[in-house]
Amino acid sequence: MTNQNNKMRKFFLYIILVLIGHTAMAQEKDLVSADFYQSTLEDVAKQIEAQTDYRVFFDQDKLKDSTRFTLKAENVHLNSLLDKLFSNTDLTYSIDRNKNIFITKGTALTLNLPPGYWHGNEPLKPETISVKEKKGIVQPVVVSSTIENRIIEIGSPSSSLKGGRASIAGYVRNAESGEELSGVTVTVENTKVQVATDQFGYFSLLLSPGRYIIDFTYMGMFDTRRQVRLFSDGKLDVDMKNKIIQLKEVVIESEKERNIRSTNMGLERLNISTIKQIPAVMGEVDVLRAVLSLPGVKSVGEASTGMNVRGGATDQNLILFNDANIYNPSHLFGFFSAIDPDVIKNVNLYKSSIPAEYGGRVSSVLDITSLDGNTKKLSGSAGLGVLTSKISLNGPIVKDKTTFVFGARSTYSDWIFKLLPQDYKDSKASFYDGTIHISHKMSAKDQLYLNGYISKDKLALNADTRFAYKNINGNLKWKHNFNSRFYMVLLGGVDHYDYETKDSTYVLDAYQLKYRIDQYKANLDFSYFLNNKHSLSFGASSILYRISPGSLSPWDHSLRTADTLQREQGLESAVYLSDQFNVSEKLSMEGGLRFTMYNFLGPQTVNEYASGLPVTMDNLVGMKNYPAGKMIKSFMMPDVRYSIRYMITEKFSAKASFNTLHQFIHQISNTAAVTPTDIWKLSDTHIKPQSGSQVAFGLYRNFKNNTIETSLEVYYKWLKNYLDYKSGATLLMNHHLETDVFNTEGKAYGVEFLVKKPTGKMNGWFSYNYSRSEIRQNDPLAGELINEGKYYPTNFDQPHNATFIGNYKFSHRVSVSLNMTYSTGRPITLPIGVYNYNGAPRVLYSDRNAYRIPDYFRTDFSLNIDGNHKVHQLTHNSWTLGLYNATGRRNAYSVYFVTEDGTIKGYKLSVFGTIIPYITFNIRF
Amino acid sequence: MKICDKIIILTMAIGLFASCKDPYMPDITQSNSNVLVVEGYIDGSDSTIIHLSRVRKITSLDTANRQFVTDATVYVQNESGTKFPLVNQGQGKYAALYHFGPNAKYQLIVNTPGNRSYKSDLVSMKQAPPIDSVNLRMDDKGALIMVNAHDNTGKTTYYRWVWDDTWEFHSTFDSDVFYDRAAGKMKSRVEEVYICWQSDHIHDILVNSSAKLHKDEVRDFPINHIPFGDYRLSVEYSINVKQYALDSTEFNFWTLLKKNSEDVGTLFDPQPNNIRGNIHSMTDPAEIVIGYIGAGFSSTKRTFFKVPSWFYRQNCPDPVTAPNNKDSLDAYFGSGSYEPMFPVESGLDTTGWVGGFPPCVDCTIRGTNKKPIFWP
Repeated sequence: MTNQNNKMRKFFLYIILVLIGHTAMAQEKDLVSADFYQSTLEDVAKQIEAQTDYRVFFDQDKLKDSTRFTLKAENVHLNSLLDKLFSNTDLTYSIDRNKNIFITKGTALTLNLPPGYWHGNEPLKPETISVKEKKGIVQPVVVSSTIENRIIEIGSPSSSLKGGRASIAGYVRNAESGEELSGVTVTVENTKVQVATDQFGYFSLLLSPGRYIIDFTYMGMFDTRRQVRLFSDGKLDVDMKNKIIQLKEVVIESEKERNIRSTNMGLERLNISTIKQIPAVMGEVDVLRAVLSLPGVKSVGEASTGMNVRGGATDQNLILFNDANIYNPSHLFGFFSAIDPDVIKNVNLYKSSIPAEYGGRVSSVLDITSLDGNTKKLSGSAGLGVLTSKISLNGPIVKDKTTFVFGARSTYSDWIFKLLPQDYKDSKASFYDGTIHISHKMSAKDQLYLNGYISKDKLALNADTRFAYKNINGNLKWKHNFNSRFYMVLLGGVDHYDYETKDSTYVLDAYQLKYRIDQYKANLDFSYFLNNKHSLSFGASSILYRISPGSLSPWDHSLRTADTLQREQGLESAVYLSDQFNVSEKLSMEGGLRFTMYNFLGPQTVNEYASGLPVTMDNLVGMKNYPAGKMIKSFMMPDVRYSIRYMITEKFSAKASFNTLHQFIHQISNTAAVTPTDIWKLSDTHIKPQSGSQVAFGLYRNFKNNTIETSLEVYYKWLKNYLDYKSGATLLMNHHLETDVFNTEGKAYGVEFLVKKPTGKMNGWFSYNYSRSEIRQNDPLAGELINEGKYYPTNFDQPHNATFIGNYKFSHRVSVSLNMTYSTGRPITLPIGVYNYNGAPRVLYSDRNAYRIPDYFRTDFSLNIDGNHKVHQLTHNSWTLGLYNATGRRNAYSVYFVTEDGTIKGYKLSVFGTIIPYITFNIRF
Repeated sequence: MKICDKIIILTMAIGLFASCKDPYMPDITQSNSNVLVVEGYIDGSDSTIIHLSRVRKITSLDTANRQFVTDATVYVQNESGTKFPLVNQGQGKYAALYHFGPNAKYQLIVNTPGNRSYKSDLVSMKQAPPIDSVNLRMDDKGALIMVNAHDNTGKTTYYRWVWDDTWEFHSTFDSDVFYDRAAGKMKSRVEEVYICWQSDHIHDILVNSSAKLHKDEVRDFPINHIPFGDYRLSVEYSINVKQYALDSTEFNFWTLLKKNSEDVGTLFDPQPNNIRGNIHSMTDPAEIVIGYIGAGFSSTKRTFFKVPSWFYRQNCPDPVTAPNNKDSLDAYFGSGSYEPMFPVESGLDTTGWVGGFPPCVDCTIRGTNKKPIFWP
């Protein structure tokens, strides 16, 4: 262990040496030895002057006896000796070119060396010293406590302050990779000031001039602190060190108290290390399935990664991956998510209070962010799984300026088809996805980010059916800091999704069908830190949607008539303003307003129906043509986002929130699970925007020094204009889709309880929630009444749900994870009677969703074995062995009755009906 | 979309031979057993046959008795009120042969005891074009039987087919004798047990639309599939296909019914629908009635297929030999375990009788030895 510790330490030293520039020039004669015991400054000065050709100056009267020094050192560099000596004192020193050392109290003398050192807008850098030892081997020496113990001066004492307050701002980075850390808790000791770094790792504090100790805490990183003396506005960049391996129990004060203190409600955060611990189907670490294990998130079954958040539909989630809107985030039609876990940093799911900068979906925002590039060295990983192989790379393009992150996955699943019945032997399936994230530092104030994402799935079934879909996304983001309190982010991007099917099962009818959606967007966001009471965000965004809802062409020798649906165009523009207002230490609130204007644009020929009559083809009275760009239908929608937090005690808070949202794009799907042929449709003359509003109340309490977090949230939600479908509705290639759909209204409510132990040898969480979700269609004009117009449960109304996820580390190399989940079976429509028709029995169905499939219970288990942890080896290996559905329970996906060979048979269909063992191998380098 | 169904099978397979279906019978409490079911067609070129029944309780093996409505009065009526009564033939079947006029509109009226009265919507007579041909094509899974039709006037668009099929088949082993247990000896057979016929009828819903094609045509539309090794194609096979022309609402009815009952069990099942036909209760408008009564002139075509190259094997167990004494013969042939075929002779003595598995010897166990009238 000691050996390991030493190695680790050396590693750090090495890293710090290599990574941090500004290395003082050191020569052999600058080395000093010292043996001070209760020595005065004068003694110290004499010693230094005796051993080196430096001269020491200080204010004899004031400093001669002010401090006593005790220190033993041999052959250390002068700077490091001085740092060490003056740590924990208010003495500072400066050295000029002429080898004069000036020791002062408080303010250091302003010298011209090192250049820029004392300038407020130049980042302060930790001192490192490399020392040539007498043996001639260069060995790094870092007095690691230096930076923490030294008093960092910010601003210049001479500058006059406006309003008597000064700001400290800067970036918090990973010392090893240079990656910016978002969500680091920044606490000013002995004040109530606490902030968190933003998505760029940036923080800003506003304080009266004076001396402060600022603490930085972040999960997986060693805590660090800075002592500052604040004069006027200035920068403070901080590097945090990785806890690469946890040899002993280490208390990680991760995101300490954040759950209690933030005004956010219903915000779930997962970082990639948590996601990777959750046992996955076939060992494919799956970001979306991990999200499905969170309280309040459901899906209709195991074959689907479609999420239902707090009673919302699957199309009501805004899925953002590095700001790109991913329309189909799954591979193999929903079995696996199409987000490469190896390039992911963290995932935020907003299910209750949704920041005003987001809009366009009514239930939730899933914000997935990739890793930032390693600014110092190239690293990466590779993995082999049952289904996919993958590689990711991460490193600098231009050192300390430009970095990249790249990840790619591909499948070799064709072998699966060899296992299939004869009928499918000729089938082929393939998919891949790729992610790129480039970050470029243009100047101290400007940063550029380029994101790209692609995923593609292809499937050929025998010779007669082909299917393919893909996402392509790209965006460019520019962040500009006006000053330490005010920054701007400008983003422009394109999101694309399309699918294509070819079917030649029946020769005369062989066809090819194409669908595509393109989305062009621009966002301008500002963040202004007014003072410790107010921080403002405001901005504007605009999305132009262009949809080709379907184009069908004959294939081969088909007699099929070619057909193309009219292209749809819509423009969604919004402005927003929100204010985080810290009323007092105890009371904090965040209020936001978002105004959205949606325009359905021409060219379009719009069907017109007789008013006051059902929208059916019988009531079609005419058609009206609109020229290109003409606003056919407009909606102005104000949204309110409000949340409030009150600290009852230091460890106990209560929060409440109210949020409204609107959505102008609808997924047209008549099935319980999201299917690959589902299309997205814009709101138009006949199809109204969806709206949702939610009130929520929650209590948050932490125990045991914040190592155990508990929360209880209650919510009630109203949904309007969610689309449902008439019996026998045609969803594809329908020129008058409005006649086949109708609006429903929904309500959802529930209680979510969570206990979480985020850190420690044993960590994990347990959640229980009771939730209901019901909809109704009670407008006879709109079409048939479902269940006589009464409320009925949605497909994903699973009232009871309990999840346990636990990890236990036996040693730093071996850990086990256990995942258990239970939920009530989902509602289903079942037959209640049989009759014979056309030579075979048929069934008569119950009211919609009047029954439930059997309850769901699954246990997964995995064992992670890391190779040795020697830091210097080229690669690090790890193995994961696991059992998915370890009890082998045949959980029902659906229950159905089918007419087969002239008789009626009832079946229960299970997707993963056996124990699925898996093994994966990963390499990091 | 058909494509979806395939994707499902595939995705299930990718779910890695882990997906499975188990027989399952949920506990159904809601019950709606009194619903009237009306099935039939007002046919201008064949007998008009209407079946009346009621929805029965759902049980795991569908053991509940079919509930025929045997005490109704049923008639066809045209728009001017002329009635064409149908004759109650028992078991819920009501039939009569009328030559309905092509230009009138017709509806079905059903009166059940208790003064409940039902009628179907008035529909015009649709003329089904003749069936061009019915073909058989061998594929790698068996034999596919396909129908071809077209309508140069473009009026048909929506097609529906029903069929019944008959096949001649032979026993694997020939036998001239049978065992008379009472007499304790073999006797010559008087009945044919080597050549038989058997019949079946359609179970699936077969509809097709040419609405999206630029020609009103049906080409090689699969209507039946006979897997490899099936004895239906061992000697000769005949299929009698009846073709109907539908209107669009009738087509939708059949499509929905098919979706609800046949195209289910996938990962992406649509919500089941409660099917509304064109029959309404005049007594209680809210009452659910199942069925769609269309009208028109059907066309029929019978086709024969001889398939000598068909690889057919019945997988009969090897014959056994029973010693020629009463106890043994009783045990082997008296209980129906085996059927005798021929004697084992040693010189002039009959030492035993060779017997085979009954279905391999006696074709009447599965079919009838009465040759159908249409059989050549």
